[in-house]
Amino acid sequence: MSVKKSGVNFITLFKAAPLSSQVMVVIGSIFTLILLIFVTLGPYITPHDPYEFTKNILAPPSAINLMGTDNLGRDLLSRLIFGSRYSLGISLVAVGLSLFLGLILGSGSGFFGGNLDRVMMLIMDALYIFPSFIYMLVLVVVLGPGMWQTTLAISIGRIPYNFRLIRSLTISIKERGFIEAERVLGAGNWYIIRKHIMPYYISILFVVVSLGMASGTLAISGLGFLGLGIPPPTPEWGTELSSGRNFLLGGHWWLVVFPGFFVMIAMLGFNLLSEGLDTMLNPTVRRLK
Amino acid sequence: MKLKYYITTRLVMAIPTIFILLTSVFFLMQVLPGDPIVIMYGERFPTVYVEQIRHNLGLDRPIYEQYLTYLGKLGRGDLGISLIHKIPVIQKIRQVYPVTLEVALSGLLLATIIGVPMGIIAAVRRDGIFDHVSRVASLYIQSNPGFWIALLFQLFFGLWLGWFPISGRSPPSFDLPKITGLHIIDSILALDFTAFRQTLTYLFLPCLTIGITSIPMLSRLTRAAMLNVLGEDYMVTAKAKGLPQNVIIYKHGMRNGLLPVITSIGGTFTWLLGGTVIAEKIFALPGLGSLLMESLLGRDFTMIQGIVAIYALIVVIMNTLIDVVYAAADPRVQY
Amino acid sequence: MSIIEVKNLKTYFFTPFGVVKAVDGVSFEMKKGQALGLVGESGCGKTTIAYSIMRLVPLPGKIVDGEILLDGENILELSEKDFKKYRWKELSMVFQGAMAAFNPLFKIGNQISEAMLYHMKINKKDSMKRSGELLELVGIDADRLNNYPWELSGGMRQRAMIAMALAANPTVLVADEPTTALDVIVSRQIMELIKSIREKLDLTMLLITHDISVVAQTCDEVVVMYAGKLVEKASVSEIFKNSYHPYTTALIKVFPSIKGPNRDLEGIPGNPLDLMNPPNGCRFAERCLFAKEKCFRDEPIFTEVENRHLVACHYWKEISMRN
Repeated sequence: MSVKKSGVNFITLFKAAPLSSQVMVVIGSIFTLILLIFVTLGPYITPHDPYEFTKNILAPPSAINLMGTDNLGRDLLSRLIFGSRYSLGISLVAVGLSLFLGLILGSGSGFFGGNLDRVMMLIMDALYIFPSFIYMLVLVVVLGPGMWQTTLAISIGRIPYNFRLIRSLTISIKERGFIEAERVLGAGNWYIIRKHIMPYYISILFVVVSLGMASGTLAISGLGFLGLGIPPPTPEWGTELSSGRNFLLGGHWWLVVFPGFFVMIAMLGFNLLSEGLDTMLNPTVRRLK
Repeated sequence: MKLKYYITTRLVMAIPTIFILLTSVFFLMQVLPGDPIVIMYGERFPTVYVEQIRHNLGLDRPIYEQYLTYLGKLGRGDLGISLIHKIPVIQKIRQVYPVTLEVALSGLLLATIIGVPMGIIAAVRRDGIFDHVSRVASLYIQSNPGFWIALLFQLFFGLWLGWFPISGRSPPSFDLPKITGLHIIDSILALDFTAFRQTLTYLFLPCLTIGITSIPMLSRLTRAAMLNVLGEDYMVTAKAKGLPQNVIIYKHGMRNGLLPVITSIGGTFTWLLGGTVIAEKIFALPGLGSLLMESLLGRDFTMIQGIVAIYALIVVIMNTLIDVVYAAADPRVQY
Repeated sequence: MSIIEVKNLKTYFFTPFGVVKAVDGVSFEMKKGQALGLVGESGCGKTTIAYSIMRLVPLPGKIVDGEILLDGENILELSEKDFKKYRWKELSMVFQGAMAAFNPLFKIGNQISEAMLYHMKINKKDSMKRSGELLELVGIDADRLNNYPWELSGGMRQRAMIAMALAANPTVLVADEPTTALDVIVSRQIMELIKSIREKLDLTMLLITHDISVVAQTCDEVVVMYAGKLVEKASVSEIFKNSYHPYTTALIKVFPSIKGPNRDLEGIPGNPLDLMNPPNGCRFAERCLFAKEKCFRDEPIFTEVENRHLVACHYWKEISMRN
């Protein structure tokens, strides 16, 4: 019994997925969409000006300032919405960059094999085994302050993970017979990579990207919290959290709770999306008992 | 007997890894902007003496020569002198690393005790209430950044409820002989139960934070491993033999299912170690993470290199330990 | 009197693509001490029958109808807890593919004696001793008790599995393709072994295979299955002399005789059946050389046409007279 090729697409996979998976994909997409709106339309939808000082300092959440104000009277909600383009934007670029580099290095290394592969594996294994966050910290300091430097640091930190993933995928595809058959027919190496291996990446791409966004956002806000990320007055979520911490003992809880809340919502959205998509695109059939 | 041989082999194989890490950090330090001498002695130090000291410290030699000297010193266990503290790096690190280890290991223990059984039950009662609830809970917990959870705990348990201290490692009156540096163990060895209790109250929040953030990962990996095993043929054989249900699950299922979990614990530890940096900042714990932050912000080159070396060592030793445990547990591994 | 009676067994698999009717109304019986061979091509449902009898049908499969009587008692009605005491002690199984059937983390001795410890009043030491005896019975050195399954060769693993199946002194042994994964020579050794054990222990045996020649060596009776239904049942000698169902005849002809004259290989034309949408009439009609209009319309019933010879074919008499 054959499954018609054209019939299996995103819609059919969605319909065939279990309810929990569908719910996750929907909710995750909604969150991601909201965040996308924040990132792109941020400046236009903030209730107040994120940088405007007012006399209403350290005010708790109210009707005017839904999430309260900070020590310079700035509206927290506006700052956090505006800050999403930093926390998420940098994360997106970093993830994209590291995925791109990981793709090239991983597929090349896996495909060509030999000594090149062995050397790459040695280096990447060493970096993989080391806590990436600590490595990022050192890189951030070495590369210096600045948005692009921070982005580069985060993406470099994530390369070993992507490299491994892509490499093992490449090797498993390579070991299937049809690659040899193509060679016999005279296809060049890059043609094979492009036409046969790349399509397989698409299936895992969505999951990897959303997972990457979750960890990237965590990384940038973690850096911001430690004071090594985007410096104030830019309202990156981690930086805001770090600033807000100073006022915790004074009972100004909203300065700490809400920035973290934004990070949480972002990560929740990405995690839901990746989990739901993973079940949807890679269903496991084997069951017993 | 053969096990010792295996351990040494694994450790020897780990050397290239440490080597690569140290080399990369060494060259990163060369790129790091800043003049070590200025950092040590300040901007106003007379230039004449600056060049003299630079020569004495060998910092005017070509890079590859400095690199080889570095490796040589490393072999002898000399990590250099801290630019900020002016004492040997090793000495400073020795003071602080037990703090990090204590938090990291206790957090790992907590995560394992809760996460692994969670994964097992979720797998055995697949698609049941427990499975769904624990998966949702895992997803939610996973989405909470560690620093936020830590701060919320501080706020809630520390400030509002006042049950636990919100920072530090021990009260000012604390006095304990230093045997291992891990207060938990030292207090037991010294039979000082007051100290033990105090340590626990101070350790509780950091350990809880680190542990909770690692639970989702472990639980998920355990569940996947168990599900894999439950679908294997020998499980059918066990059922066909009419063995009691718990024998089927615990003897045949768990023994096989927990093998990959051993490896997962190693991976979790690595991830968790990154989180200790943040926990140390939030709870004001004087560990490796705090030292690292201070060194990074202060451009203490030698210290940065030293700390990275220690982190690498910790990670490598942990992974070797995990490998050894795995080899002992799985008869298929030859050694 | 029958020790096993299967009555109208129906086992279906509920897949996302549809319902696969793997066993669709199968009835047969086995007398104590008898060896029955169940023959059919891959995918015809014979292994599913074995798993149904053992109550090991994997998801998404389910026994939807019928009865399986073990010594008069319908085991399908028992709870798993109640049925456990029959497992391995009355009904045991030799699985296809011995590698996977053993747990790689435990030694062979452990796994063999395990079955004994839970079904017989025996202590650990004695159970190990008995396991050693069982290994010797199947032709393996008793020292091998301390080996892990992956340390044994394919043939030895199969023997070990047979030993394990005998651990609790079962009344009925189900052997599912015990020789499929083995080479011809080892295959033959295993079949000889099974035959001698059967005789020695007076076992009732259900042998499942796609190779009808194997059945000829070891069984008393044969039952042939096609596409989820039984098509013929008779004694071994009868079936090779006088097969009444076209499929049986074709099956026998498929395997060339090593001693006989050279001839071209004869296959069975057509494709295996789609068990999700079985046709109305006889399931073999599409591939049958003798099919007539009635065959496509009415399903033939599996009936006893001569003494202890059952067939499901409308035109069995005419076809047999032709031969």
